[in-house]
Amino acid sequence: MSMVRMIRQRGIAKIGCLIAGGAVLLVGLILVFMFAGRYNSLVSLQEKSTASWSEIDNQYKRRFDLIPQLVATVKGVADFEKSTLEAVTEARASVGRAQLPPGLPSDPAQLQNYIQAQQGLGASLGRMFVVVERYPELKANQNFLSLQDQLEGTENRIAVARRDYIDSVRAFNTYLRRFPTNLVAGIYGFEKLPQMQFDEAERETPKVEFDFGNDP
Amino acid sequence: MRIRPTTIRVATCCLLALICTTASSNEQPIPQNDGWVTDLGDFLTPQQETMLEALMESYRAGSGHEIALLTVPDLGGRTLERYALEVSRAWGLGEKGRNNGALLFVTRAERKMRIEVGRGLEGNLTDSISGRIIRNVVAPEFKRGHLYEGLRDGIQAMHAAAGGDYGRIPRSRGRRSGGLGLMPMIFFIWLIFGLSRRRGRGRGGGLLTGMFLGSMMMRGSHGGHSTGWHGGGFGGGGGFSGGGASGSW
Repeated sequence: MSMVRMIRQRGIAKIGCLIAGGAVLLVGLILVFMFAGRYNSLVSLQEKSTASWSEIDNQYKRRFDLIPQLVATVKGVADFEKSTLEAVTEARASVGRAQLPPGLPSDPAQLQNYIQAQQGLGASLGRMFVVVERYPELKANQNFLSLQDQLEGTENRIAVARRDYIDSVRAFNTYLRRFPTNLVAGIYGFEKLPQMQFDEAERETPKVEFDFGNDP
Repeated sequence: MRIRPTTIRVATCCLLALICTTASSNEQPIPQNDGWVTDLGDFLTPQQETMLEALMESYRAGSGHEIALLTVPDLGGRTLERYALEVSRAWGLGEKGRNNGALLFVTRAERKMRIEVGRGLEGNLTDSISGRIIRNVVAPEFKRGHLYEGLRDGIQAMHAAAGGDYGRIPRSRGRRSGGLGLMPMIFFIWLIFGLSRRRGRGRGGGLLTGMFLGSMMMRGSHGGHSTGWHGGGFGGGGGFSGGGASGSW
């Protein structure tokens, strides 16, 4: 009688062991998959940020390369305001001094410095295009108009890429700090990416229109 | 009592934030596209729209490039560049992976326009060519009041710049007519199945009807795809990074 009970008990114990082992294995597998998923999402979010950053950088470089042509064309026009041209040349030179190391920016202060130099260049170009409005000779010059299109094109691309960069960095940083992800990030050494700061003037302000007349 | 400057600053910030949030929620949603030509700004008569639509579909068929036209009455709180970009991305202009889409975007109230170019076409339809099309092709016609001519010539200039051929226009040009044409038939079949079920075969009829109807619907929507305009959207590319040019008239 007792023998039978012992055998039965041992059987139950065995089954219990199997179940426990299975559960541990299952939990382990789930954890691994979860970690792998988080890791992969982190990688792809980081890649997205890298891609938008290199787009910004490309457009900055393109603008940098276009400016000498522009300055040469504008100089050809007699009595063009010297101070405006000098401001552009000076701003370009300061961008040349504030170069970043290749790759994703990691140092917020350095990034800030660089962005500020670039924004200064953008602002001086903007002023120049305003001054140009007073020179009909330039407004009829096909070469100048083409350069203006290209420079405005780069400005717009920079604005777009900057918005994309900010969005992707925000997504990455938020994801990084969430609970299970922060463990994965800690293990594999993912770090917060520096967010860009805007100048007040450069921030795109939404136009506010008060339209009381035809409310739905 | 003196109000401290920090208090003023905080109050201003709060006010600004409030204005910003209300402004952004006031933004109109991205308009739905209806074919290659979406004329919300009323630049074209229905006939002109049909002609332009045929031209653009023929170009798409021959070249694979997806070039669309959108006119709006006003910008509704966005900037020109932002509006054009958001529309191009939301519509998914261009084939997936190739991003060979472009958009001619015109707003009536502000008298502005923009050519937004997808990444895949940036090499051909460059910023300066886009600018030239706006300045030398579209704007002069608009100034003379020739809206249709301006849009047509602008689209053709974009076609020429982007390269590729015109193709054959598919026979049936009825938009989404495939699905609609099947409706009476589906109704008829549903009626027959319903009657036969009532005769007493129990529940099986319901399932069968469902399956049959389901398959008919599927075929209906597929039919819509192969003829003329494909219902919901474009190729799903939407790879735009702000290339193109803006102008006014």
